[in-house]
Amino acid sequence: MKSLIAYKRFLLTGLFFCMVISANWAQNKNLLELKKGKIIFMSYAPQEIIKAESDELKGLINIDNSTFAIVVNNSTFNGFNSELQREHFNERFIETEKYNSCTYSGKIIEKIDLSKDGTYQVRTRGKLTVHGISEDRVILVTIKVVSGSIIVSGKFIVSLSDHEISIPAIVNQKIAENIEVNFTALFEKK
Amino acid sequence: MRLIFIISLFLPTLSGFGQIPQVRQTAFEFEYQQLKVSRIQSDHNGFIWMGTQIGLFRHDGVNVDYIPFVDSSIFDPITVIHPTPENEILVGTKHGNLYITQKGKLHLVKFFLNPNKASIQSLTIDVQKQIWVGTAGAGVFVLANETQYSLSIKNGLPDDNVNALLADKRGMVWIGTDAGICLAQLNNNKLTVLPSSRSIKLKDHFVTVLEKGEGNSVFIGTQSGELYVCSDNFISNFIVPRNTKLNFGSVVDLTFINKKLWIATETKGLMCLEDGHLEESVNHSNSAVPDKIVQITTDREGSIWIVDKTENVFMVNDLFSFVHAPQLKEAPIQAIASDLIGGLWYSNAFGTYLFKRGKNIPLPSQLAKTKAICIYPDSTGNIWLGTFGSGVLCYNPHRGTILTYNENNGLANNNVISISGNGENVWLATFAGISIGKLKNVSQSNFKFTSAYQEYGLPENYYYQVFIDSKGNVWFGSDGQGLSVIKNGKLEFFSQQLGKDARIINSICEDAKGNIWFNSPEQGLFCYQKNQFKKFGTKDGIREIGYNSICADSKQNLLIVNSRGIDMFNIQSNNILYHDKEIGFVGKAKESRVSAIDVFGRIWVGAGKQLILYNPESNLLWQGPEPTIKSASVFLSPFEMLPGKVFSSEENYITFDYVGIWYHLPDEVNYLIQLEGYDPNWIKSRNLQVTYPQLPPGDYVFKVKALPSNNFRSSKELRYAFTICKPYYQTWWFIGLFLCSVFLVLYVGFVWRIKQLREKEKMNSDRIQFQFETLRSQVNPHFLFNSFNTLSGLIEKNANDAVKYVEHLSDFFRSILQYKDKNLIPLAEELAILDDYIYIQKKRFGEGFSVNIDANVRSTIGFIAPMTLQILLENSIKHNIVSKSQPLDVEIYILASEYICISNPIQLKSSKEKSTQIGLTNITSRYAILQSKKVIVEKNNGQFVVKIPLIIYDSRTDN
Repeated sequence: MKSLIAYKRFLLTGLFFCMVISANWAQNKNLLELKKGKIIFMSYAPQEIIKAESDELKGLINIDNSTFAIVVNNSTFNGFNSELQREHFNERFIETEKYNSCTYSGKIIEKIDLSKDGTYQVRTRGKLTVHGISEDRVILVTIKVVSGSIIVSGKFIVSLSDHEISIPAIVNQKIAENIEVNFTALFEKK
Repeated sequence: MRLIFIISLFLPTLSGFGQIPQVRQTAFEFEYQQLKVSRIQSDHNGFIWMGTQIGLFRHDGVNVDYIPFVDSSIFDPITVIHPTPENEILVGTKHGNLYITQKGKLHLVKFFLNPNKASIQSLTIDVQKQIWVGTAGAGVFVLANETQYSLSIKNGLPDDNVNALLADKRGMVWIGTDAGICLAQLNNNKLTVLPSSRSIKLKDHFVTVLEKGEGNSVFIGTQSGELYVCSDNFISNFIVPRNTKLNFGSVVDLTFINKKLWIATETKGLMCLEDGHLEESVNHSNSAVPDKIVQITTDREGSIWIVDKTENVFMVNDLFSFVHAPQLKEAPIQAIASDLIGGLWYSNAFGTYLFKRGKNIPLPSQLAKTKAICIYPDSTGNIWLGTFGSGVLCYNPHRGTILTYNENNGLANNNVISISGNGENVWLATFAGISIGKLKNVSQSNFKFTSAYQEYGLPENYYYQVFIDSKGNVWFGSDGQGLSVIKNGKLEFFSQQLGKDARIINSICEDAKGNIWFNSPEQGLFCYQKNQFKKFGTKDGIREIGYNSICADSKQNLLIVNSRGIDMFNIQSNNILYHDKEIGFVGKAKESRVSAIDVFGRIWVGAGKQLILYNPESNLLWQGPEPTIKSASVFLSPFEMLPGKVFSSEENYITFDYVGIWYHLPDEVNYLIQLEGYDPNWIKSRNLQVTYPQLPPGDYVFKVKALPSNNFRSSKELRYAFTICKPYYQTWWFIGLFLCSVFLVLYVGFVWRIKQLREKEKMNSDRIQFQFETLRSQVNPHFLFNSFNTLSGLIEKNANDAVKYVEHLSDFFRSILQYKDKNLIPLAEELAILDDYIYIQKKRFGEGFSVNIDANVRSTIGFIAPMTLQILLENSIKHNIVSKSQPLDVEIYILASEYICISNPIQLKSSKEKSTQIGLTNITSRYAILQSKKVIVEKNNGQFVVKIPLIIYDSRTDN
């Protein structure tokens, strides 16, 4: 039951993502596309530090209404302490087969002019979907505009319990409850 | 419009002592699973409502009632709970649905449309009872009179993500969005955003919470943790400075009660803002309050209910809070006092400590090592410490000097038990009397105490307390001589008024009204008011008599600290409330108990190893529990409690479910119930239900009082009046109708009976007359003359015939005699009589008379009135000519096997034989009484026909 709902949510988020893309296709001059990006997550547990990253970020920013959407495929994460760990991550925790990506879509709260060069600290509000569970989140992001291209970076925490990722008690000491996530992305006009 | 930021300074001296309020985690079970509560809200009746994924739950302190979605398969997390003025509850859900409670279920609100199913984030109801719904991404919907209006970016809303809504008294609604705040109004079917309101400039536009403040002011909380207060003129005041390094993250919820603003934060737990001072101590690091709060609400008793991210429910009350002081783990508190600058001094068997701003302040080692028995901060700022055996220490915090005085300085004794003072003098109670010191001479080298014995004649004794009241009178509590006072320089004793048993007085205090209270370990509590003493003992509700410490606050409370807990005594109502386990009090019989009031009017209690702070500002408990009727049912089916409801006489099995909402100590609540018109007195009960089976008709008032303890004298009363109608058989119209009908039935029966009796009488008289007539006709001289004439002729002609004739004649007369009493005889017998008669008449008339009896007449079985045929035959002879030339031929036959007919040709005599005219009428009336068919008399074709109904069977023949 729960997984079905999660699946629906996942579909809806996917749909929203497609809508963002398609709706703005016509006026794509105000659309920024993610050209290059990197996302790193780190788990600081008492007995083990786990770090994994992915370069395969996809995303769009619509300047007109300050909305955005970012997606990363779970299977593209690399850099675990062992290949077995990577397998566990995909099979047991994030359940890649059921929920193959993590998404974050929403809007930028602060009104900023992305055409002007400069560094801006802004808040984004949106739905963070991990493991099929959507959370309403406000994430602090730094936007750096350098001659048309935009570099977005930020840091946030994903609480495993918020996304119904349960950790067996036996590996409690090896996986942190709160996972730190860092990301950087370069957006350019299409 | 100008924008003013007023940054109120964070006054550290007024901030707390690091005290921790009492936190209770409350777990609710439903179907053997712990409830996962996502939202919490109190309503106007005092119930706590909890939102879950499967519906709403109502908590009354004792029970939790489930209000499911009307379609039980719905699985829709509740995101907002909002009580309506009509005591219904509006509920908004994550999937964008709006529900309302009706008859114990959550029903979808009619006319509400949410096309994109945007999650509902906020709800409010304005003065015109219009429902405002704030959504995530779809702006605001307003429901008014079955019409829905919508407000979005297009018509002036700052943003379509609406996080907070608040309706004010003026009919305007405050809307907090991701991009700012605005005010809107729905008037005359026009939904407008007030243009001026858009200029309420906040540093952070991302508004997360709006909360009603005092008057028309509104508190605003933002995502970055800023707090504003906005008044009438839309000027917002920045009330929590950003530079205090608080950084508590997003403001999640606000609630304003009792002049305190409680702030729920996203990551740093709960905080409290009082008079512009932020109480950070409620914070996560040192209490059981959760860090990640989702929502908070207040109950009527001033407690804060919290739902956290892990979906648990907590209850926080700051009426009593505890101070964690590590020194106290070693030994119990001996003395406690608050100085003029907000520092708390206390001591135990290891030394003396100063506690300030949540921290222990280091003291000079001589002071720190002093095991003070009493502490007194005087009006000049010195701190006096009394000791066992080492006299008294006077510490000057400004200069850092410590002076020690003992018996060498004129002190009555080196054991100093209590110190008090006024602007001039300091009074010391010792084991050998009272010593007085002049404050202005304290630091002089030749400082000497004087003796109260010498000055006022106060006996040398053991003194437990010296106390100076607001009028300047000095009161002494002694061991042996009871209470004494120096009033206007004159010593006064009260041993006479108090009696012999109150010789020990260990604690004295003064209440807000100026009454003096003192405690006798043997007798209990005394109040001295207008030269009168009033005693309060265990029967008045004081739990324990003993070496209790008493302390009164500036309001109406008097705290009595005993080994079982803290008895809170109301000086106005004399009500008593007990506090012990529920506030975390651990009492031990032999441990010392001390109390002191500080400069803020709060009372500090040292009981054993516990240091407790009582905050009278938070005390909303004196109003007691609010009795509420949860449901009422008749024959176990609930009914709506309309005032003055009228029930029919059969609806006389009435049940009330009530509760006194008292989250403080729900299990302790006692109830007094009475059904006015049924119960003569109040009935004490601990049940939450009462049933009145088989109530007789009448007017009733159901009354409930809820008392928080056995020693609560005043309480609120709930009344519900209803009426049970009289049953229809007790109504005047029914009784009238019934009497009428009974009368009618009796009348009809009476009339019928009379008629029956008359008929019977008539029948009897008829029969007698008939018999008489028959007999008379048979023995009438004509008949006899004719018969004897015929007989004499026969004797001459034929003697045998004559004998036969006489036989027939005698048979005939015997038959008359035999049947005269009978109503009916068989037809055959009648025919036998007739045969005799015909024989007699035939002999008389010869060929002039003939009777032709049809053959089937004889074979017919039936009954007939006796002598009928004979009389009819006689009639025909009587009235008609019978001669040879004109013979009378009488026919007797059966008609349709129902009638026996007798017919004769009409040949009337010219000279009529004298007749009584009774024969035929008599027959007709007899048959009428026999209730058979009528006798038919016909004249046609010259024939006179009489048809006699043949009675086929009748039981009356037996007569």
